[in-house]
Amino acid sequence: MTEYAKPLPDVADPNMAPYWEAAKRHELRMQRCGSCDYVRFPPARHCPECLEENDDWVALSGRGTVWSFGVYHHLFNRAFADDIPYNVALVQLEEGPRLVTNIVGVANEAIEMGMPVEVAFDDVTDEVTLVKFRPRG
Amino acid sequence: MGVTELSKLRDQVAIVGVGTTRQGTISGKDGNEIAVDAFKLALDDAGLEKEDIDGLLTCRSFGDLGVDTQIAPLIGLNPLYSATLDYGTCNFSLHFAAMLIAGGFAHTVACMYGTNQRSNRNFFAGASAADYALAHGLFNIAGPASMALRRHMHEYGTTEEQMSAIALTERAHARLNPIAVMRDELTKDDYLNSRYIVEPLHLFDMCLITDGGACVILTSAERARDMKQPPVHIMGMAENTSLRNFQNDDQLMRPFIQTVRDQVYPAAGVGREDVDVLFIQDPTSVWVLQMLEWYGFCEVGEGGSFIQDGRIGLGGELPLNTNGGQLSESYMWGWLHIPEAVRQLRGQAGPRQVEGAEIAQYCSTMAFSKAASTIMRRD
Repeated sequence: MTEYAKPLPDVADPNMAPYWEAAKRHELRMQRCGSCDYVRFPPARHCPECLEENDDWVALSGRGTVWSFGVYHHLFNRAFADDIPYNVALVQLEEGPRLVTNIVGVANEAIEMGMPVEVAFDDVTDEVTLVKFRPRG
Repeated sequence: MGVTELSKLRDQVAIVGVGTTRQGTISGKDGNEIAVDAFKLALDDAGLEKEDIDGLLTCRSFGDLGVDTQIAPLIGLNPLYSATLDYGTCNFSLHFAAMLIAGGFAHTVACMYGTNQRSNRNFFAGASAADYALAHGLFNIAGPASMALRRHMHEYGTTEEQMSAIALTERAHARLNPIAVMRDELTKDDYLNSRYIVEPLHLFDMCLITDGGACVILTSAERARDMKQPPVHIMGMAENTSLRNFQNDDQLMRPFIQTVRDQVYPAAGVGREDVDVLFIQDPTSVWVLQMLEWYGFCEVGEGGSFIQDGRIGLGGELPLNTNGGQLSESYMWGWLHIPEAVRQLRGQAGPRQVEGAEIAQYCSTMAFSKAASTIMRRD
């Protein structure tokens, strides 16, 4: 197996760690504020709405829609050479936050704006699982 | 808050000097040295000695350069006030300079930027996002810009053919500008047949990374009266931010710019119909599309049709980026639009001169997170 050469997130980042640990278990979890119910991303100690610190890492539905996407034809990073052209999308989650992600399981040409998608976990290394999305029936 | 206070600054401050270096590849000099070159040119343009400058605003540049504490010793000045802004476009620096002058912190302020990122091969591969986004391959501002454009196309039916008007118009202008880096003729076929960088953004929707320097000198309207050049008066300024980033709905569409629109025209005491020549910062053509709409030059969604038929070209109803913009003149983080606006309002733009130009406007953003606009008039 060839080594994974693409940029990896810092899964040890104290704020992000619970997100990545959940992803490794194939769960999409984000912080929901215990005081005002606001679901925040990226993770942070304080709720940006009410500034309280109490939060629960709740499981999200994993459902969303494609807000928009771009298809990379220009190679900015050599590790993506075999993927060109590849998509990067912004997915609007049912619970509110928006995620930069990739749409998998569908050709770039078949991705549609507003397309319903569901989370698809990609175990890219032993330590890191990326949160991607695939079309939802 | 807002318009009433902002209008107090109307005509209080003027631009009295501009300097722009050669653009493209400047080997053997670092960004700070290029900024010093621009400073010398601006002093000469203004007819000032360096000792006349008592306010210094620098702009951070590639390679941890562009800091006030680095540049002041290079120009041998201990200004009364200095600061470094972390972002470009000149607009934010210009507003800061106006506040310093109006507030009495300094009398005459030099704003400057210099970079050698082309010769040092800075490709902005990772400049647009945190590592989370990089893991998914979101490199360069072209990524979010492509998503914004696709969304615009989806909502309003904007087409790639319509978008070509921006790149083609700016190239035609650059061909009249001796310091422009991109001066070869560009046709609609060239545009449509060019490769995608990030689809739907074509190669010619993107600016070219360049070396270069720019400096703008401002002082009070009163001091500006007897200087070498006719002053260019700052009529109105406004800003707004969208710093919560993706916590905001529709962050990539930048609706927060509407607040700048609602403030800048009343602050200046003129309307958009009074603008003779318009400048929009354009690291990608999407910025032009969005800002034409949010500033109300056309309805939201109608930018694609608005830019057709020569409307934004020299001789058109609303000449745009007569310097060639970042797409064709030089990247420079948007620092060359203000110098061109000043030259237009002084009647010094040569073959690019907009006949009888009295009022110019410059609109810019810091990525998707800050917006600024300035309305200027000739003396």
